[in-house]
Amino acid sequence: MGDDVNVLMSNSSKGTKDKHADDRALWLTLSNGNSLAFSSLYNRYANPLFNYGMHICYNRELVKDCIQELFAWLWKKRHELSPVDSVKYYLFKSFRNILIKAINQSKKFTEEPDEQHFLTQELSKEEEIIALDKENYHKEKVTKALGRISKRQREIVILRFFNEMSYAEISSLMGISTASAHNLLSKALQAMKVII
Amino acid sequence: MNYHHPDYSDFSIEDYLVDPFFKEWVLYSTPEHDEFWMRWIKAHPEKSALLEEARSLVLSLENSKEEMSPEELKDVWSLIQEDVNMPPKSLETYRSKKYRWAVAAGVSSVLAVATLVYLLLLPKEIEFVTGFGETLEITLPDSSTVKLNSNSKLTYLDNWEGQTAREIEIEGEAFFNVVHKVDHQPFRVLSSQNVTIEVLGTEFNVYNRAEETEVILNSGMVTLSFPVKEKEGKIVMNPGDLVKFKDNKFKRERVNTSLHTSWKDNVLNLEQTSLAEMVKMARDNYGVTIDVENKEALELTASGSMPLTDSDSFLRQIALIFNVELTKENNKYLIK
Repeated sequence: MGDDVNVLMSNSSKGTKDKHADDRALWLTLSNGNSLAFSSLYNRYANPLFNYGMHICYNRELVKDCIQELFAWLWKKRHELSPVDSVKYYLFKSFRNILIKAINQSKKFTEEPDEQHFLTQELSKEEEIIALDKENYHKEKVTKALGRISKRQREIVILRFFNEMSYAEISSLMGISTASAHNLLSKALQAMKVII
Repeated sequence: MNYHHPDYSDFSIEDYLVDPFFKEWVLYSTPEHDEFWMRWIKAHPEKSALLEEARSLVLSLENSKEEMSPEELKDVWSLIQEDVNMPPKSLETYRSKKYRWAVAAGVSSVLAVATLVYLLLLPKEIEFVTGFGETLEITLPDSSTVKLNSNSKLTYLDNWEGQTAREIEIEGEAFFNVVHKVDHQPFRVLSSQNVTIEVLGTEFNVYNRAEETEVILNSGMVTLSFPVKEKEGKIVMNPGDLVKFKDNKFKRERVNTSLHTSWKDNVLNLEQTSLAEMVKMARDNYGVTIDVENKEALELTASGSMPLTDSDSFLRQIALIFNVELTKENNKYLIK
């Protein structure tokens, strides 16, 4: 009577740990080829990932394409999935890679390399992204506090507050030290408080 | 219910913003939340400015949230399905094939016969109904079992082979023990408030009466989806969870599941159960109306357990346990 599932769930405790245990149960069932577990993961994470993506690059279609790519890839390599501590972290990390690649590609196609391009070559990837869609973002969200803070500040706010990630996860996701993560977030909060 | 509050008095603004209980209060305030925070502010007046700041930050963050519409979610999902070449999921794909006109008469009569056979083989609807004071044990085609409580109805289409899911509709109350299938065919229970319960092998109780759906999970794993403000909400339930869906709102509680599911063993377990709840049970399960004259008596509670048989014994035991006088007037019962 569904023993496999019962065993998985029996050691789950309260609070956020529960969510991770659920996730891991879904992950394991997915790796056995269960399509219901697959759709549950999609239902659970499509919108959080979308929200995250939209705050990195304000381009609805591009972000949706990346979600599609992520999940298609996940299903194709379901049998190779090894257990992970945090399914959420794994998904966000993979999604971020896909998104950044897509942003860089769309840049190549849409923009002729001009002087400015060469000037900005020294910039980090994230800063490139900022330059790409800053204008769009501000047009749409100018009244909202998140629209007034920097791209990286926005990203950390999304990870921390909508997705309850730990500083360790955030720092490895964004490729910064935990100390700078703390610093970045407190600056973001400070800035948002002023705006509100 | 078992939620243990952290010490909010030395919280920084960031701590508030990640605290689930605080966020719930700001975003989906319930009386329970209000009561707690009102009391807390009274006890910590020096924190009220900080709290207010945290509150407006949470609101502003929520306001910046980007979401896909249900259509977009569905579209992206079907694109994913296309990408991974999953087998087509619905019967419609077989039927949507168009036959050409230029078919010889002989062939079309074969087709007609085939259609007839197909219609005869079409799954038929199966229905189980219980009257007041009756319960029924049902074994489903996949050998999952259901115990149907009084005054309830369960329907499904026979022949689940080759279907995308095993689907069941329920009105009233039922306890399910679902068998997990090797091919992972999902098991879905639909309630009348459009709440869908999706199951991966499990034991759970569904209560769906009078604009209210309540699901209690004993073991295993279940996801609930329900309509909220033109969107679809989803909850993954853990064993021991009770999720109530009423007036387009849901509420999750941690409960002692045996209190809610003991009826399946013809026993009613009470733990601080109020007279009001018993009155509701008498109506739901035995079709008996009880008027309570003194409204304060509704708040009386009792603990213990009692056997469940017929309505007479149920009423007698109520009178006994709650120490009230029960009289019959016309077709109604009255507690004074």
